[in-house]
Amino acid sequence: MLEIRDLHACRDEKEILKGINLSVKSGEIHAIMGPNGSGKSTLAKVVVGHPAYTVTSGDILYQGKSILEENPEQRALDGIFMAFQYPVEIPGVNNANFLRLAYNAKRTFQGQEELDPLEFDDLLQEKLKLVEMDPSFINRSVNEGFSGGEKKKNEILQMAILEPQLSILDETDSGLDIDALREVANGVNKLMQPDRAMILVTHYQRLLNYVQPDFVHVLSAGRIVKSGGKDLALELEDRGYDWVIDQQTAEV
Amino acid sequence: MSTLESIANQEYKYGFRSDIESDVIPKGLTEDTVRLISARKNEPAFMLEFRLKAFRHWQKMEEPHWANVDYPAIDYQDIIYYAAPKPKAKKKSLDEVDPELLKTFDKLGISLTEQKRLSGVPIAVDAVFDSVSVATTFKKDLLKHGIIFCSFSEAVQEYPELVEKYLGSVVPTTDNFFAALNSAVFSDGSFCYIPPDTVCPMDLSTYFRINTEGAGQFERTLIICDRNSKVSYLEGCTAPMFDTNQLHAAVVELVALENAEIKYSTVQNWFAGDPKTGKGGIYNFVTKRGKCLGDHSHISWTQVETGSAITWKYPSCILQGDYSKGEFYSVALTNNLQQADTGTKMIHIGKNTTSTIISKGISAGKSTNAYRGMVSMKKSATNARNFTQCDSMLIGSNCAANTFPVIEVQNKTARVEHEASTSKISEDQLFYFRQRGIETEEAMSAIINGFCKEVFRELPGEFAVEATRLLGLKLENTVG
Amino acid sequence: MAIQMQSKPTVIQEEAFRNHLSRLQSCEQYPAWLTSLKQEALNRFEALGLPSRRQEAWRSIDLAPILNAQFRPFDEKQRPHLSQADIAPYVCQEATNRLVFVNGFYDADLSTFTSLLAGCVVGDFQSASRTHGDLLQSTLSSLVTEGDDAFESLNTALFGNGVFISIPENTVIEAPIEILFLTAANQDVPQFGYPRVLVTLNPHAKLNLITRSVGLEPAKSSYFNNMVVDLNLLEGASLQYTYIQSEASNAYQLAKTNLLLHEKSQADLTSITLGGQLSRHAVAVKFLAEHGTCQLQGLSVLNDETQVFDYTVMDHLKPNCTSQQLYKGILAAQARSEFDGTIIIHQNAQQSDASQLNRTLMLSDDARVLTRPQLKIDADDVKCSHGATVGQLEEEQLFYLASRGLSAQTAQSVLTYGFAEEVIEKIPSVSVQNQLIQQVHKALHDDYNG
Repeated sequence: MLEIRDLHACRDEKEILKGINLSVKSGEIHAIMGPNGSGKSTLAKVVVGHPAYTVTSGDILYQGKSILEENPEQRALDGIFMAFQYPVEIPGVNNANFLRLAYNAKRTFQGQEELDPLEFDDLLQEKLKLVEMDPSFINRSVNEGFSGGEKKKNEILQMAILEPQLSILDETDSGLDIDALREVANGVNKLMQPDRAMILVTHYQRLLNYVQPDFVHVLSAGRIVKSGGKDLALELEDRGYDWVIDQQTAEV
Repeated sequence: MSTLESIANQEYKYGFRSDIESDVIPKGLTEDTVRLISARKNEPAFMLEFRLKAFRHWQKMEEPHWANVDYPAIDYQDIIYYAAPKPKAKKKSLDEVDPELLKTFDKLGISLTEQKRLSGVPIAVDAVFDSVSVATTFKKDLLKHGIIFCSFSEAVQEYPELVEKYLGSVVPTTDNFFAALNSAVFSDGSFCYIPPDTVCPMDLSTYFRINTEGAGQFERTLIICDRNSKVSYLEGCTAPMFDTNQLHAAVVELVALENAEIKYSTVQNWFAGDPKTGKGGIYNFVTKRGKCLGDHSHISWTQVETGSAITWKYPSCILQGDYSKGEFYSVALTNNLQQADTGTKMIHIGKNTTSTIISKGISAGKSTNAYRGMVSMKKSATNARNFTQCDSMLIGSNCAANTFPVIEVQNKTARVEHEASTSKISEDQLFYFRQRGIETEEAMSAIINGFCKEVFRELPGEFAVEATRLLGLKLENTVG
Repeated sequence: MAIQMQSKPTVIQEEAFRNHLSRLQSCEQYPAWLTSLKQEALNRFEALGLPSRRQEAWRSIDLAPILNAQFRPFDEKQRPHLSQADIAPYVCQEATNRLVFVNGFYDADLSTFTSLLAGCVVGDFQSASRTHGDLLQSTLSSLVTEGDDAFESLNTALFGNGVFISIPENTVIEAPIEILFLTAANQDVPQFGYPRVLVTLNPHAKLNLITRSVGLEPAKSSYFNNMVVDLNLLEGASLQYTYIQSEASNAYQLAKTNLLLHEKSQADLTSITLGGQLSRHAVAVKFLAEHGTCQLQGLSVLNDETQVFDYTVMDHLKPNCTSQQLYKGILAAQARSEFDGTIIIHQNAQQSDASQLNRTLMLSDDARVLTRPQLKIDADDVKCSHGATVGQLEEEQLFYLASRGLSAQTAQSVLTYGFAEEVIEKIPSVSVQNQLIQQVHKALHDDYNG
């Protein structure tokens, strides 16, 4: 589904990704781990086309086609979704309207009729149940005054509504207490299907207790320095990141 | 490169000029001009007196320059003070309105035939073309309820006692430079009287159209809502695109008697001038004021200002009756080289009077946008309350947003709260929308509508849709 | 729509005032450079003319009483001799260095100096000109700019003595330095003074400064103080400055504080106005480089027919600076206050963060307040806000206290003093805080216990 080839990317002329290779297939969950500043979030943002980052070389193929020339909304409509680490507040814009706008953009793209507010509300209620979210959220402004956990849940709600093929969750576990983490993870698990794929970007292993990855990659200084199965995450939790990085340096 | 930069032009779709033969008096303003206008309109003596008093005072006045706007000196002798479409014959019904005029208003989306609107709710229209009212619809239906809705000229002829009693009672001839000028030379406008215990069965509206190049438009609106009555009034305006600036100095007076309610909504879309050079466009120097004369009366101003080269306008309320209520809801959008200096005055005189001010300024391009307002709690205003909120949004870094409120309190039981903030549409917000598959333009529009929602929800249904559409149009290509 | 306060028309004897001034000139002997500096300032004053109501910054202040009064300079021979006991109520106990002026004349006996760190210059102009003449000259010449404030130019033209402070690089002065300007109007004729304070904090220097102008009651005649304080903070410097005005009830005071902030410098200013018949304190803050921060708070507690004008300009010339303002007023009797505060964000001053709040408590129906919080914003990526409230105490708060058994009157006074103390608490001197709290209680005494 996603094929990243020798990807180099920079921000403000500073190179952050220094040759990433990654292949994600349908039905797979990949975890990208690594210390702060290793480029995890940058990788997520580059895949969805954040304008602050420039790809200097390499390629990103999604369903066999390069998406480097596509703007962020095209990538979203193609089915790539990112759950933001810090979802931005949008005062004045009603959450339900925002969700409907996004949903209808997708419907239009797929050549389907737009849903009117009533029809959409039925869908919304169903998805709210799926992600165990309080219905009062949808009548507030997008993310405005939401707690950290509420913002993250709102991201999962959007994911539930847009049903993306590829979901990239950027530090979705950060700032959540244990109950909120479990609820978010439950939502994520319910949304995982054989024809979809997920990339979990995380610093800690704890989300992975709830969402089982097929592959774990360790990112350091803009490169993937180690890949493995889910056991790697446990090892990282025990031993920290230094040993992987040291090992890598030793090999070089 | 920021996606919030790069500013392009938008098209002004009302910029056409109709080819209609006009009765135009020569440019220039003297006492004779004033007498000539009064004579053309066959006015009673009190009207001429009113005009001459205003003119003589105006001659002694200086044009005000305290507003935060900048424009070359206006040559008041280079303006046509009276331009009217030539009547083919004395018209008796709508059928006799010049078909060219009907076509013009049709093209502007204003139907002068008494058809019901799509929504099924009728709206009565007084259509003002240059200096005169050319048609008023639903006049007879309204009269059955005792409601007088007609052109100002007709009111002067048919209801002189009402006109004499209320004209200038809210905005005196001496009030300010432009109001004095208007009082001297105004040629037409709308008049409305709602009798006691009457809820006006339909929205009333005036549509202003400036057509003649070089003509100033000086119309006068007077609305009187008698006790226990209620009316909603809408005003729209457009003008053709000319290279020269045109002066629009209107006066609107509202009088609300005991327990009466007037809601006055404006969507202003005068020609703003050339987006690049700023050439042409309307100078919209307007005095609008309402007087809550009776106890428990209520006046509400809602405005969406998107057009004009310069807007200088402060719809205000004099809250004289006890428990009277004044409201001002405003969205002012400036783009390119537009300048707006707008706001309100709430003068609290009566006990337990309340006022609310919600102002949303949006600046884009190289425009300047200022909120200027005054809340005054007089000594008699026991337990008066005001709440003011002024928010500014800046799009791009070449525009300016200013806030100049004044609060004056002389009664210890009065309470005033004012807050103002500034925001921008951030790149992060736009990216959030885009990551969800929503295009930048649509994202902008959603954010702007969210920013303005407290004002839009005050607008009558169709106006709200129009306002939303207009803002979208005006901001098209401000991001790219 | 002319937004102006109505007031009685007054005949301003401007010409008489100027003639009066010209006679006052050249009585003193100054070094040549200072004479020429003063002449320039006088020319500037002449060019600017007296502030008129057409000028925004002065539009609602009636200067006629000042201009018509024919003030004379204080006479050194008639200066009263005060003891430490006389000044004790106005002394900041934590201050280890104090400069005392009586009627504008430096009083070395009442002043105190202890333990100043090496390189610090703290002294009156006369002594500073002997020890650090060149530094004083260069500081004065650089700080005295071509402002647009006529009374500031007038101060420069006419000041006699003043205070010069220069703190060297990386030097931290922990204990407050206090400057007391005492006025004893012991003559029958109106008199005037021109206090001046010059402060330079070199890079990373730190200072806690208090200036206090005090009128000794009873004052036999009215007097007029025209005070200017120049504060120049170089890179990384940090200043806490408290301005206290408790002049006599028939005094006039026009004060101007200029604050220049260089890179990463920080200032925390508190302006307290408790006295005088008519007073104005203008605070002009300029962010000359990035990452400066300024907190500015003000409190005026006014009774009788006192009039106070607070005028602030927060000028964000450079990006990434932060300013916060909180001005509070309590108005009793026929007092009148005006707050006119402007935040200016220039086009390149992106990432500015500026806020301002003005709150006024009205205790009387004969009091009158005018507030003008203004924003002038030319940059888009900024956070700016202002707010203003005028009214009485919150009913909810009163009810809360009542529910705890407090009488209505007690609840009122508790909340009113609390309202004032929120500002007073910011002053970095406990003894000064206590003195001011007492003064506030005294000022409002009649309103709660009379």
